[in-house]
Amino acid sequence: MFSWPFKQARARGRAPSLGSDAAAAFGPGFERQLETLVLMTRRLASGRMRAERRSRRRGGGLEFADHREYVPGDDVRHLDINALQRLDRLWLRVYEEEEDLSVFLLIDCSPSMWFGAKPKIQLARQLAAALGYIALCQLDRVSIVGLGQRVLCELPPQRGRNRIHRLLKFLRELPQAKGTALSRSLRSFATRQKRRGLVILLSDLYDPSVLETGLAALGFERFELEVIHLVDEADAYLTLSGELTLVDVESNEQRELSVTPELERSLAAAHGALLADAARHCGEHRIPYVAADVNRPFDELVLESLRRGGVLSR
Amino acid sequence: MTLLGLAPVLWSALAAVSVLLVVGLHLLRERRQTLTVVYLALWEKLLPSRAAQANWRRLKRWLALLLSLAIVGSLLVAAGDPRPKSTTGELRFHLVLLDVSASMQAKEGNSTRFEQGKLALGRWLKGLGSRDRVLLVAVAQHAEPLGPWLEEPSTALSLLSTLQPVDSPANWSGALEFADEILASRRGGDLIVVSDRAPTLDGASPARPQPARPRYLLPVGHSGGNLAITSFAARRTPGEPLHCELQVEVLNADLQARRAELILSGDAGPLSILPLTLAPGQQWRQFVPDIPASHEVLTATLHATDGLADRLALDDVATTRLPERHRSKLLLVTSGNTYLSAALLLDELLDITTLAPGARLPEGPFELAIFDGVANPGFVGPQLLLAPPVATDGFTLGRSLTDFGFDDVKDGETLVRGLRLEDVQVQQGRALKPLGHTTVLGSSQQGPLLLSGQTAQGRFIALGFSPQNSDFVLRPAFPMFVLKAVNLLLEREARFVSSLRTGELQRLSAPEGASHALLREPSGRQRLLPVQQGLVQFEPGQVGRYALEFPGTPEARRQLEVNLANAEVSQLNSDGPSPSWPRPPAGESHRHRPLGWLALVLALLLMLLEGLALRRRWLA
Repeated sequence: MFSWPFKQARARGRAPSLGSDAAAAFGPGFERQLETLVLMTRRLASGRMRAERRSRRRGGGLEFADHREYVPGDDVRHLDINALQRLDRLWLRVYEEEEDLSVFLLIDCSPSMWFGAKPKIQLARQLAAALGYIALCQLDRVSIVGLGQRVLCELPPQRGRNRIHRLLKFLRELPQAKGTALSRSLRSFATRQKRRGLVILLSDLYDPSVLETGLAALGFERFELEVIHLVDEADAYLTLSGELTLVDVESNEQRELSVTPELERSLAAAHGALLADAARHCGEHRIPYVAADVNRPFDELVLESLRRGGVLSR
Repeated sequence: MTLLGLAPVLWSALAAVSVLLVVGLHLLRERRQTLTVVYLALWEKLLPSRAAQANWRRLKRWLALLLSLAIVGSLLVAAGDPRPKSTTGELRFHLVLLDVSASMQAKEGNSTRFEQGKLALGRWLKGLGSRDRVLLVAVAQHAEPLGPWLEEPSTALSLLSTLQPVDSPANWSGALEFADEILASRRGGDLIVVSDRAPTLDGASPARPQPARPRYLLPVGHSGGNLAITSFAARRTPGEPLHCELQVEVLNADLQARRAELILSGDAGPLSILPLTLAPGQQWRQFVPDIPASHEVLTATLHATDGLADRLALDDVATTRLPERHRSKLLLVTSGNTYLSAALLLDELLDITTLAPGARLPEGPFELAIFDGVANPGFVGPQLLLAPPVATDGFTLGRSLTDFGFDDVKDGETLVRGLRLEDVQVQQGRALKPLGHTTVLGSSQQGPLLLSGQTAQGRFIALGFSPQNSDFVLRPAFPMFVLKAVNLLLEREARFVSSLRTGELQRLSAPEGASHALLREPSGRQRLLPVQQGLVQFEPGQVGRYALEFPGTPEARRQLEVNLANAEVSQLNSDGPSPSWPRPPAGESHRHRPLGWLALVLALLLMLLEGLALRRRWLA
């Protein structure tokens, strides 16, 4: 059953502290730690509204950016009096404009995400909730998109901390796709999305083409990419032995085989190679990559793994 | 081909079930299980080509099934133990006398002689061929065939499996006669004896000349190593009804000196414990007096205290039952003697008929008569004569005496022991002169006064004076004298009564009106026995307590103690093969290597191969 990370943290004995709506929804303690975190971006934001994120624009922010010569029509309140007295010229102080960032949380809803004793979709929901909350606290615009054979569902951009309820409700109602074509749905998302921003993909990456074509399409459309790879070691273990008929949970394709110890060892090695391949590909394309093990405690994942992987910072 | 292992029907059923089981298990094993995996592409790289895999897998399946069926087939062949069936030649008849007597219960290591005998016989039976026919006869007190002539050794083995030894000694004379009669009509018959002893006719002489017929002995056991109670009897002490005496006999049948402990117990617990040291072969006998007669059943238990083996437990315990006192009819001829009547009333088991002197003797058997100052009018039987007025065949009358007493009393005689007759003062009487073998038990200086002897009329005790003419009647010794005299003359409880012995025919009197008797054996089994000519007869085959009831009669249940008590059996002697009783030759099938063994070896090899295949997953 899906449980929210904040409640998980509260269950570990952290004291309640929030009286806000967010606190009521997420539970106390853990969300305060989330509020100290920010989503990492490598590019400056180019949003529409003022926010707390540095942008390319110069404007009315608090952070000093540069000087420029006064031209008629400029706001005289920004004249640098010190420069006028020393140089006897009119210079204006230019400040960085702080704007919002569009954050897209793309969640893989393929059947493989629902598979296993610890479904990966549960961790994906928890991570999306935490990342979404962090972004909302920074007054960023947060969208969540469910991906299957196509774009299954989409939460319109939400802004402001009090929108967390809608975000959680959307996550709770994420549908399961009947099949998977993650690469195609990523291309579809990239082409129809007009705004650019930070895309965080939460997926088990059990689609051979997603790394080659899906992520490339997003990069081509100038989205900033981060990949959280949901990993379950149990996927590489066999619970039965002898003569088996294997059925793919997504494609329903069947194969027959006899389980041997050599085969079991090869399977573990192949699974490890799959993970290494994903990490190597993201490294080569400078995409922040985090392997999130479903068996690790959630707070460790958020506070350590995501920070170490370059997704979050304080 | 014939099967010497399992019976053909059983073998067929076992084969069908085994094959069905193997095939069923194989199908279950080969049934594919469906496993849903998260990403089949992960497996694709690991799987070999589908066609090659399918063919190889199919081949492996068939190989695995064939291997399992080969193992089951080999085991079935081993269990069936097939032998080639001969179609020519005459039949050979083997009459097997299997000793099931008490000595076969002796321990031989961890098993008994009987179990060893069954094993030896089983091995011999398995060596028989298809032309051999076997008749199994159990020998104890009687020879009892266990079935008809058998063709299949497996049937004979199953008959043996239910057989148990009994507690009786073996009657080899009867068994050999029985075997002669059976084999007389069979050509080519031989006799096989499975026993610890080579059969003899009467236990002393060697077997009587037999017809020219091969005879063999499958010997079991070895001699010695036994301590036994070979006799145990009890009786009431003569003249002392409140006490009894025991007679016990213990045998050391070992080849070395043994130490043991004999415990004598009554109804309420141990009465006496006797430590014994017995030389090899010693037969120790002991009388144990002064045992209270209040015990109904007395038990003797023998324990070895030297830590050595006592191989036969059957003869370590013996029980006996004190003889019951029965009522006796007594004729008292007197002109009136209150002291005498009062003394006789002390014995509640006496039916007294009082007769005046000169009266006609009443009809009916009297076991004892007392003549008080009166001559015997013609009674035949034991008599107590007080102041006899006339002489008899046992004595004559001497001179009259006045104011005398006993000056000499014969020591050790039961009648006078403890009475202190020397204190008796007599006013008037007569001396008695003994005749023939009459014994003088007490006399004064003037002549004999108390005699005991035997005449043509029976045993007698004569007192030379009337007790009323003395102070004897005022003394406590007088009733004791009367009762002792009665007991001695009746000879009741004077004999040692042993318990019954196993294997001996018992003839017991039945109460009037009884048509049959119900016998309850120590094992709990009940038998209905006919009563013929007032007698019921049976032959106890078990050591323990039997109970005999006579339905429809007022008689209460009669209980009987049965012991082994047979020194010959307890000797546990054992004979080996001898020229007159050689070991039987092996059967014809022993000349061939049994196919069953080869099949068993093959099954083991195949199982080894399958285990290796499973471990290496060659056939997985």
